[in-house]
Amino acid sequence: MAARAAIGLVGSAALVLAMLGTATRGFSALTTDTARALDVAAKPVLVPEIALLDMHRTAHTLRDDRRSTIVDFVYTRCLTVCSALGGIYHTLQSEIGARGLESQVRLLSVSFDPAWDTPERLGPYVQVMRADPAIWTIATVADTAALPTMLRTFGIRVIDDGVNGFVHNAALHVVDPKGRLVAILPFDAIGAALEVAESHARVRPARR
Amino acid sequence: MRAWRLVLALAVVGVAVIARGPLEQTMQRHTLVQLPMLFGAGLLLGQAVLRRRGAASRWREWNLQGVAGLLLVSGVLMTWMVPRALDAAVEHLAIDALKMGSLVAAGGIALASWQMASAIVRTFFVGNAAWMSATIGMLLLDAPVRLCTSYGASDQRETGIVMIALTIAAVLGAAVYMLYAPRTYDAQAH
Repeated sequence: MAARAAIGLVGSAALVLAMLGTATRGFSALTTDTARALDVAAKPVLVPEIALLDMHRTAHTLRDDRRSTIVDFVYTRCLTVCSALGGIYHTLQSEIGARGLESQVRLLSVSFDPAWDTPERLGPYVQVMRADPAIWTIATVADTAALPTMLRTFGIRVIDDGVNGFVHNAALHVVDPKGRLVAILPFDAIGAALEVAESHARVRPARR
Repeated sequence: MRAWRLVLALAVVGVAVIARGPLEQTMQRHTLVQLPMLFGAGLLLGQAVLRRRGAASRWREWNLQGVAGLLLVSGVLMTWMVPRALDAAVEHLAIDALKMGSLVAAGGIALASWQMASAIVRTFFVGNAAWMSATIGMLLLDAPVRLCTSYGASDQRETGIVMIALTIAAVLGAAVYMLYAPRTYDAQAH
């Protein structure tokens, strides 16, 4: 009788630990974003070769052969988190210049709202952000069909906010010259993002 | 005789499944409507099935005083309050099925275990649940960032406020019940 009760109790406790452990990625993450950042840090993810277009309709991709890329995802009509990200990116741009990292780190903002953000509509945004084309590329996807794959790779979830805009998670994503997503950092972690990006830029690109 | 409970329980589960889209569109509907619906359906199912067959008594030795069962129920409820688990349920159908199944089962287990539990055990688990939901409510209200990638910041705050309000109401309700109906409370424990 007592033995069965003890087994029941221990079994129940073990099941509870297993459930909570699974839900929290082994007690390491309460949120989807944290879990994604830990996953990527443990095992870098190859990003898809997606065609991007800037305001001049010049083609770009998510990676650069020489430099590390710090990627963020925005939509230009956004008044909340994207403006904050815009400010952060502007600071990043100044820091890259100040530290002389132009040949090692570049910035890339990708719009996840290609329906509105056509290359033509990116122009005014680029001006407002005072983006230096040598350092900071602002682009939109050339083919809307590629959008879901890209967002899934980076762990970005875009939801309708009910008032003609979007709610989306914001972060700094570091892609190395081999096209691997190596780190996801909080969107205000300017120093850390530059350090990670710089350290990966030193890795020599794979010879083909 | 108790067939209506079975029918009602299945109907509630059916609504939770079919209206999955709208119910999971906001954090408030997901955590404060759909999850309680599923748990409640489990309670009804438990009433319909367990009393008829006396199935709970078979597990009495393994589930002494209902403690093992109520612990498991607390674990299920806690698991689906983890933001990452909630996001996963919204994004993946299989995980949502897991969520629904586990909550219905938790409702049934809660009922069966409740019937075996003494007043002390009941008070412990109800108190624990109240503490848990109040803490989560305050976390949701105060969190400087969005905790779920599926839901917005204002939705999160509002969910926190409603969760705290419901907890206070439940605790007051339980206190009133225990003060004014002490005999039935004791009698049901045995």
